[in-house]
Amino acid sequence: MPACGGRTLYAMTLPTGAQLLQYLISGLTLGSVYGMIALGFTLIHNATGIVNFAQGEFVAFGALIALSCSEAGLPMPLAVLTAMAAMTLLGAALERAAIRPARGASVITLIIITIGASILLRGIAMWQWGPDALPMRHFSSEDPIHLGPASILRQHLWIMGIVVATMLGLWLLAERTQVGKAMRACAVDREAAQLVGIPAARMVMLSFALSGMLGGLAGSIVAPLSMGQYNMGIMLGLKGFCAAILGGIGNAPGAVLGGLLLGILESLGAGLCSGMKDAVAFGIMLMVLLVRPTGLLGRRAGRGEAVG
Amino acid sequence: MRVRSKRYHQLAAAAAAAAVLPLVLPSEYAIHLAVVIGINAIVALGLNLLMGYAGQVSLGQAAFVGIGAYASAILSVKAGLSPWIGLAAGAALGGLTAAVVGGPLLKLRGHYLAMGTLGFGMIVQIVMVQWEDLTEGTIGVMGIPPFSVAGLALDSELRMYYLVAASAVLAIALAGNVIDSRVGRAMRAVHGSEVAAATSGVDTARYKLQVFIMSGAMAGFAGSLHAHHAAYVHPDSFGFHYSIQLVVMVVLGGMASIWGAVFGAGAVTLIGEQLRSFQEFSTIIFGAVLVAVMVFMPAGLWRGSADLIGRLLGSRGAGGRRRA
Amino acid sequence: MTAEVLLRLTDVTKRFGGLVAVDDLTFEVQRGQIKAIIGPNGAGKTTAFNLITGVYALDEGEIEVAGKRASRLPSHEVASFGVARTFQNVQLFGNMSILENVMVGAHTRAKSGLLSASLRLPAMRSEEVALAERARECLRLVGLDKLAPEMPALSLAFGQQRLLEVARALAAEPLLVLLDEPAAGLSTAETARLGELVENIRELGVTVLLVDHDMDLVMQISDEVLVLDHGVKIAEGTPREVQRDPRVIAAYLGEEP
Ligand SMILES: Nc1ncnc2c1ncn2[C@@H]1O[C@H](COP(=O)(O)OP(=O)(O)O)[C@@H](O)[C@H]1O
Ligand SMILES: [Mg+2]
Repeated sequence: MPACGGRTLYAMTLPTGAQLLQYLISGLTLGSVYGMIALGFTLIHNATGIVNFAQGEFVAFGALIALSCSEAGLPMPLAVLTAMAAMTLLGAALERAAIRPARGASVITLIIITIGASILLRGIAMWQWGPDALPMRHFSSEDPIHLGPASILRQHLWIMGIVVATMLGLWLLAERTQVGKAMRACAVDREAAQLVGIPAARMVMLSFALSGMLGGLAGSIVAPLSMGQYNMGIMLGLKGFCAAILGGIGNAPGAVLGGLLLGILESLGAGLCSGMKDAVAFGIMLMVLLVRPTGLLGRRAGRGEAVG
Repeated sequence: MRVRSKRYHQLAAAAAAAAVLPLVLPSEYAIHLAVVIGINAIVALGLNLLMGYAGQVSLGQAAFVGIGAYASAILSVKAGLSPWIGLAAGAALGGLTAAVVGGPLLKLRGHYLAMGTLGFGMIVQIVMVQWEDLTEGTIGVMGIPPFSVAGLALDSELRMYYLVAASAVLAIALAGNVIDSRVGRAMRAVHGSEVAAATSGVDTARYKLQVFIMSGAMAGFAGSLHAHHAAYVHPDSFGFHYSIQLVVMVVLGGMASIWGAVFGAGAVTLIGEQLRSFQEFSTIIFGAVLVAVMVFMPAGLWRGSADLIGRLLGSRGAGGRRRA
Repeated sequence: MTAEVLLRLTDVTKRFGGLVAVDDLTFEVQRGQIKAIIGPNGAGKTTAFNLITGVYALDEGEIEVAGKRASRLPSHEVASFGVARTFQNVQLFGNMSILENVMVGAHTRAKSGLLSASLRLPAMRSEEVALAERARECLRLVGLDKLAPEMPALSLAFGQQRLLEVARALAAEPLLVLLDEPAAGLSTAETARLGELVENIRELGVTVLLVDHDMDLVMQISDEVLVLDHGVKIAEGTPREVQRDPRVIAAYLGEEP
């Protein structure tokens, strides 16, 4: 067990330039994935005010479905699309079955509902795929590309490319389409949106569906590097959380920025001291919450003035 | 007042039931489970004061249990001090930690507070793993001695049971006393309407902090009991999973209900025990039941069932359906 | 009776973003008065109450209660100066009984803490008895003493909930109570009884600052009326003076059906 606490503290050495570059590459990759998960949180949070603790399970299911499809001989794009489609349905189903009937419930109740859903999904994943980590083929050759002293995997490029493309797609959806505008209107003021004829309930379901799709995609692109395991969603989900808070909850560009920043900081932190990798994420989250709960780009506050 | 004497009667009945319980429990293992339930109940009671009564979520309560457990383990194994000193230190350190982190954390509300406490819990667990000189990292601290009373070691399940049962009854009495007092009303007022509480003269930050400290101390106390019962502490026992379990105990049992917390501790502990025997299906069922209960009985199983039975019988529900 | 200033606002301003909700507001309330603030919806009346009670932080100006500075203090400290209030959108403690709601109102009248509560020390017990007695008295005063005191507060009818808020405010034995639209949603009979209640409250030596839309009530019981419009004070004086003021008629009374 590599550790930096106590005895091994003094073995810490400063990284070289090549190592730094390497950390940056893996940090950006991981950060893109965090950003995508954080975006999933953001979509649901904006539509409903709920923090969805089952977001990580969307990612785990995406990974497991994609790797099973790919294992079964499906071409990679089809495997990924299947995972995305399945998670879109699952997201919508979760909203319909567990969130909609509980409208108006307290924060604690809503938290437990999504936590219950995550436990349920994790159980299903373990039943279907077993407890062990399962490998997945990379999207293309596994040979690294050398960049001077550092090297980069093609899968890294795939991940970053897909995440950038997805952000662009979502941005177009939000800015240029009727549905996107309706969703944003609901996020700003649900009642007002309903008054002008936007079906707010359907928009909420859509946000869960989209969020499921994002989770499915995030899972399928990260699985070749991380492998797929029934419980992988816990940590990935929580890190997505940290990213969302760092960027400013409810703020989509913030979510992506928070993800990237978190990925890089975590990767550097792990490079200095591998045992502290998770501490970086949660430490940053705590610091942001305490010092600036609105995050880097957010405007809504966690404290807020009470209204009389 | 009538309500108060009813509370004391219930408490006396519970104490009597707890005293004879081991006589009817079928096995050593059953008594072991009763001990675990008692320990969890103490934590759940504290968490219910915080969550159910004062309305402040904590998804990091396991950290306080861990702090109490490690404090007690380290003091008795490494410093050779009496487990009783460990118990006092565990409770004190749990409370102290809550006092330190509570100041800034409790400024947060709702989901933000949930995430803040979650982050705090994760960091405490990481410290348990990383501070190897003190905690033995992922190996954990082993060979923790049992409590002893006048030379008699509490090294059997039965003897430990009586210590834990007495502690739990005490905790129930304590929680009941606090709720039914000026301090308890102030805490509940914070939950009911923070603005109205403040304009009534309640220093809301102060009472939030007090209840947080109390829940932390109760968790630390229970953690110490756990350490000397299991004779072994390990970071995995005090992670996010356990924090969630604790919240589920409170919510399933029923928020703002003392007996609900005890009931929830029993239910979740027993279900968790079942999970070991047939893994994934129980997880699935547990998750599904949890969602269903929260959607259809947000007041918890205890009050929810009473309501349901009441409705089925056509009369009005026993306990009002309260949303937290 | 010597006029003694109990509440003084000096050049108080509160902005929400670009909106000036309370604009350079200055006024006084004398001890023993019943004073009313009226004005159309959105005039800034509730905001003024929120500023006085420290719910909102003011942007400019000063607020004094009984000669002590109350601006920039947290709500519970303002309360300890003897200021109590009710809310336009009723803010009862839904998780507590009727009696307990009123006992919270008397929070500043007692001092037992966590330790004495945990151990139920004798001092704490006698304090509890006194608090409960005080709470019952307040319930009697507002006419809610016929109800079972352990009923959940939210099981009351709406008008009774408003009265319960008044009882809670009185339990603090305040010098000044702020009533925010106490007659809203009440029947004519209930409103008439409320008028008597407010006068009774004054008889007890409590100064009253009142916001309401019921002009009959306001003009009948108030010693002085202040008119707000868009956050600005446009008139202040006796009910008769205010009713005759052309600016008030234009800005406010004229609009009302
Ligand atoms: N918390 C707040 N945030 C933003 N605007 C507010 C807030 N509270 C009140 N306002 C605005 O301030 C103005 C005055 O409101 P208020 O004091 O409630 O009016 P009144 O009580 O006289 O009807 C209104 O335009 C209202 O929309
Ligand atoms: Mg108003």
